[in-house]
Amino acid sequence: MIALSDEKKKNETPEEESSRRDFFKTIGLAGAGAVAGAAALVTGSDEAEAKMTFSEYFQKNYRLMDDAEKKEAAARMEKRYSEEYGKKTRVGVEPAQEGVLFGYALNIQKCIGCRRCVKACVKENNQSRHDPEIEFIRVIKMEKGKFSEAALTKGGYPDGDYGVQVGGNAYRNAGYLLEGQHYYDPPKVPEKDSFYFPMQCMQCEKPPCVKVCPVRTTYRDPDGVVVIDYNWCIGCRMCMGVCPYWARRFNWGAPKLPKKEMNPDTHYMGNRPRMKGVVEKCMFCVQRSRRGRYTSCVEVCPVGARKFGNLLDPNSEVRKILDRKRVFRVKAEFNTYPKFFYFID
Amino acid sequence: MADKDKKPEVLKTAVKAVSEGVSRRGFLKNAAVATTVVAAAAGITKTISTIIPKENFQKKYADDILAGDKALVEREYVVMSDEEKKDIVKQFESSYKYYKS
Repeated sequence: MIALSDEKKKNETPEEESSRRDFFKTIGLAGAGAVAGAAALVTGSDEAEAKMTFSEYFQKNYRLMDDAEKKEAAARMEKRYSEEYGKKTRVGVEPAQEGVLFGYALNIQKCIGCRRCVKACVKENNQSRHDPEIEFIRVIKMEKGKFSEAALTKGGYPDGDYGVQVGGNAYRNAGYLLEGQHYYDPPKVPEKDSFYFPMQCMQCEKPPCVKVCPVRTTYRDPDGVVVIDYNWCIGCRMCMGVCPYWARRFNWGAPKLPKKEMNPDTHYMGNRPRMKGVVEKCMFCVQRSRRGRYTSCVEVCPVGARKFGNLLDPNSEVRKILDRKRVFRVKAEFNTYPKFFYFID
Repeated sequence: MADKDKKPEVLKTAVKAVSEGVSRRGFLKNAAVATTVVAAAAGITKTISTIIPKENFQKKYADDILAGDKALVEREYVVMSDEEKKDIVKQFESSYKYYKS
């Protein structure tokens, strides 16, 4: 071996030596350029992403992690968020509880459109506060159906689709939505001749968003909550395109979450701070509900219009509503089996 | 003779030293130039990106969701019958068992 390599060395011409040197020189230059480029890229990207550690970039999909890996990932994030937001942050990994299937019911007659649920949700779930203010709940102001004497004399219902029949026979389309009624801001609620229609993720039993996700980052947990592993989301927005309820939100820019407003009680699949280019949505406050607490919107509702509970428990509020009240679902014809019900007393 | 033999040897060493010195210097020069160029390019890109008017994220966000609000216009909401309600609970129970298994 030694003799052979010596022989080889002897046979090497000065030209070969110089070409090797050139090669190393080129490699060195390219390497230096690449390092400098990478540094420039990292400093140019948003803060949360730049602080993401190498191991976080290359971690497994949450569903494929074992318990130890989940705890390790959560600990890594706890450290990063604690440093970033200057407060001790908890990233929970609580799994779905046994024998629990979460369901939600909303009394559309009681809702006064105060939008306290919207604000409480933003606060609880660490959503972007401005440019844009991301809201998981949309409360849509709708016009009540109106009774027309002329139509009554004519008899029967006119042709066409008719909305929620609030206050007797509606001879004019109810649920008529005016342009810009999403961001209504009256001095006093409820307004006369209006009713309010809160919308959020329906946590479908057969969620189309899960079917289209090319990286399987969004999936349905056993407790019925459709969750997202933000670290695996590639931001393709396919899930947004198929959601019949427009319940998903996309982070067009880096979310703007002020340090002092950050809620440090988080869950890996829930309200931990998100990054630019990922999709997020309501996940029934898993950081609370999986520890036996109500969601923040249920807790804050001043008129008790929102009910939340276990659909498998016949004594739960939501099951009692299903048994005794007049219930309807939005876009039931899509057969996605939403677990969010609207009811009327 | 001995002096004559020595001269080329000295020359050879000098030439080698000079050529090595030049290539090392050249390498370092190239490296420094490359680093400066990359850093300058990154700096210029950053400056340009700050000058360019920022995207209106609020508008983009609104465009994503307001279409959904419009789609809710004049929809028909039909109250579920008792049968339907019983069926849906059964569906949920069986699907829970299915997902658990």
